[in-house]
Formats: sequence, structure tokens, C-alpha cells
Amino acid sequence: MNHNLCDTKDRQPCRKNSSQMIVLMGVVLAISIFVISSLASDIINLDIVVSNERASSLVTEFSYIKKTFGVSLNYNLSEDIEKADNRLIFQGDIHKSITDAFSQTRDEFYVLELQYGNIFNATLNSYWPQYLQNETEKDSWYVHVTISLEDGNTYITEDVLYSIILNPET
Amino acid sequence: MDDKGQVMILESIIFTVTILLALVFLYQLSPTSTVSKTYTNDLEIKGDDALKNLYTSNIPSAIAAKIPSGFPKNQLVYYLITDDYGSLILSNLSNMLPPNTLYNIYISNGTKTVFWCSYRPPSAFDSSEPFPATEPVTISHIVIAIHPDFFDKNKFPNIIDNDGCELAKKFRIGEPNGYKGSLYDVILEMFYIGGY
Repeated sequence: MNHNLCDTKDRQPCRKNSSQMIVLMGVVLAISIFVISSLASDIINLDIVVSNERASSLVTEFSYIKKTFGVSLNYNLSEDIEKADNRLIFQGDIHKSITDAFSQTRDEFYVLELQYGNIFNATLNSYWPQYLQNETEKDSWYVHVTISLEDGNTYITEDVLYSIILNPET
Repeated sequence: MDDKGQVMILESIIFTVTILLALVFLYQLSPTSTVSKTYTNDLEIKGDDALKNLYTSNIPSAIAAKIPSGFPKNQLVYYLITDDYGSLILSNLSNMLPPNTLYNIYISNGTKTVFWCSYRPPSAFDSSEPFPATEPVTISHIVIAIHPDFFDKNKFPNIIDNDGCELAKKFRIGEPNGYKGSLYDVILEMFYIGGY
């Protein structure tokens, strides 16, 4: 004898439970579709997010500043530029002017970056001669600097070693 | 009866959650207001890349051979010093930006900003006054260094003509109360023709 539990005099509750489960499964399926569609829409907007992040990135700004700081420091250390044999000679006394030139360079960068809402800072760590051509002629120097840049959300700092060309004044 | 009540409660909870998720779904798919921001972001990236390219690439070797070693040979600084609007704008910058982009170039030293040149496609530039900007405006910039002596026409007569450099005049370089620093900010103010 097959005994079907639903095959009783009171069949209503059994049929109602079955239909409720079917409705429940349908609802769960609809919810799944909603969730997957929401995730898909987030992925579609990714190109907007990426371009926004790259345009507002501080890394690009920092890379320019890192390069230009050394050049500007070299120029600010040079009190005079002379021409000799189709090359320029940057003249200056690094021992006498390194502190003032560094402060001037740092302050110029600070004012420029402040216009864009960025805070720039730099610290002079040390400097020493780099003998290139002649051991007795100190025309190249290493300057060790720590520079940092922040915009409220991102903070970037790096130790940079600049090579400064500066000839003693004749 | 208890089972029926529990299932009905469960159904009502699932119904509520479904309504909330439907609202979230509609919000995610609703038209965003970032479409114009996408265009300005892309233009800003292009502007930054164009300025970086000009700052890192050198002038033609035929010109570079006549310049003393140590003088800036990157295109951006050299064309600014020599007031070569055509080479900077028509030959280089315009090729790197979208064809329907107008732009004004300003130079700032942190305390003073001066107008340098403007461009209107396909091939017109004006160094007298900027073009009126139309929203949305996109700003790209790059910081460069130029020693004050590089603007001296007496030291570099083969590079700077007798009239002198316009940038030096605007910043009064060489004058007692003029700018004595070496730092400049090249600002590229870009906007599409007719706005967006």
C-alpha cells in the first residue's frame, strides 16, 4: 500500500505548504537577479571610477615635483651662469648658499602647491661632494632630501638623492 | 495553524526585503550625474600627459646642436623662453589633445599668474588675450624650473631675439623688484567648443 502523506481527508494544508514553498523559491530567484544586476551595474561604472581616481591622483603630481625640485634647487644655488666652450657653467658656493637656496626652493614649491590644495614639505638631510672628473675639483654634489606631499586623503613621502652641478666661483 | 502563521511572517519579511532590494537596484541603474565628470577627467588626464610629454621630450636635434650644453632643451621650457607659440601649440600640444578642444595657457610663479597664449582649432592662436572659457573647464598643470639667466638676451643672443622674452617682461625678470625665483607653474585651461 502506498501511503501518501498528503492523501488524507484533510489535503488543504499539504497543498498550501507546497505552493508556499514554490512562491518562496520564486522570490529567492528574483532577489538573486536583483543582487547580480546591482553588481553588474557597479562593474559598468568602473571606467568612470578609474578615470576619476587617476585624474585626482597625487602620484602624478609628486613625480613632477620630485624631478623639478632638484632642477630648481640647482638653479637657486647658482648665483651666476657663464658660458665656456659651448657649455654652461653654474657658479656658486654650496657651503655658503645651500641653506638659503633650499629654503627658497621649498617655499616656492609650498606656495605653488597650496593653490591646488596640496601641502608640500621638504627636509635637507645632508650633502657631500661627488668627485667626477678631477679629485681636487668639487663641481658635483649629492644632496639628500626628503620630500612629501599630501592633499588630505593621500600622503606621499620619499627620500631623494639629487646630483647638483655647481662650480666654485672664479 | 502555528506553521501557517510562521510562513506568513516569513513571506512578509521576504516581501519587504524584496522591495528594498528593488529600490537599491533602481538606484544603481539610475542615470548618473558623472557623465560630464568623465569627460573632464579624461581631458585632465590627456592634458597632464601632453604637458609631461612636452617637458620630457627634447627639441629637434638640428636646433639642439646650436644650444650650449646646460641650457634647457626640453620642448616646453625652450618654447616658453623663445616665445615659439607655433611650435608649442600647433606642432605639439594640439596633436595631443582632442581636436575640438580650446585652451588657454597661463604661467604662474605662485603669487602672480599671467596669460601666455590661447588656441582655437583648427589652427589659430592668440597671445594677446585669453578666450572666454565655457563650462565645464578642465585644468591641467605642470611645475617647471627656469633659471632667470636663461631669459637674458645678452647672454643668449642666438636663442632669444632682441625684443626679449614675453614671459620675462610679464614677470619683470632682471628688474630690481622682479621675480628672482626659478619655479613656474604652466597651467592649461581646457574646454570643449560650445561647452558640454
